[in-house]
Amino acid sequence: MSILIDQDTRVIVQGITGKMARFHTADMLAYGTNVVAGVVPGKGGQTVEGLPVFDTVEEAVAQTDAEASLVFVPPPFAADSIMEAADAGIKYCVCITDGIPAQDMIQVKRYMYRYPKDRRMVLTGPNCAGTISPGKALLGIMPGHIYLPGHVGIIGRSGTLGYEAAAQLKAHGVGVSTSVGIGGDPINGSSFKDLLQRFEEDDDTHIICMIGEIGGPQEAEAAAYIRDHVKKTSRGICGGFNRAERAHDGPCWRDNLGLWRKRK
Amino acid sequence: MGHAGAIISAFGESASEKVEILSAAGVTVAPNPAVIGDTIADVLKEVA
Repeated sequence: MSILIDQDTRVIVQGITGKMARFHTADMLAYGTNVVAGVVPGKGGQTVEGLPVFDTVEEAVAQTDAEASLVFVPPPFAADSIMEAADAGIKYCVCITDGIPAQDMIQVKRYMYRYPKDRRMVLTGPNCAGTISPGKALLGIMPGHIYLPGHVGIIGRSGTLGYEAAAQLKAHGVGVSTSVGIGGDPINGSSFKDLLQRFEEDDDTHIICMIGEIGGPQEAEAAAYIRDHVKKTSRGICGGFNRAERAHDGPCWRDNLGLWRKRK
Repeated sequence: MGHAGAIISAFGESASEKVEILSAAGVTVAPNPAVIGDTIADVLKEVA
């Protein structure tokens, strides 16, 4: 077993006609992901990589029974695409887009809370590398060949540190059950805590590798959750930390939301 | 935009504070990203 996705998950790609989306759709199909369609408003009727393109997510779900969606839509329209997926009955959505305004994400979160918990879409990202259940399905932009199938669950805010962990594990002959990127944005869909809960319930995951980062309260919340609720795998949890506290100064200066604060 | 979430704005958000909080919760913390693989392999041996 794995969490969130497997070889049977029917996937649509929102924004499939874009250059990056085309490239990664071909990559996902080659990996064996069950990609069934694409969605781009105004481009319904076209085909990309042999897949039909629909105007709306609702139409795509009606025609293909899609359950998961991957959002490659540019930042100004990405929040709307996520809400469209949530409304159309998509169960799991990965948003790759980097640069969605934080205020848009507040709107997305509020929108998703309209739905009762059993019908609420699960969102990971934005600004993440995606989710992979090695040997089964790849929903994102990571290189599939660095992951061995196995029993380590990886949750990370940074995409490249997730790759790093998977590649190092492969060198040790250790495999991954599912690797999930939750994204580097201040407001994201799923937290460390949400995913720790899913990995804790998954029999196939024996050890959880959580890759944190500076900033934000999520690691502290995760620590409290691990202490109180993660029993089965509690000895196996590993947090790898980027100790270089100044490593992400660049994004702070470019942050257009006035969130920059002086470091300690 | 990069990692806009990687901004320290309150107590408990720096790397050293997070390491302290996670260690106190019983989490094995890898000292740097280069040894994530070694750390997990060690913990797996310990558990087995």
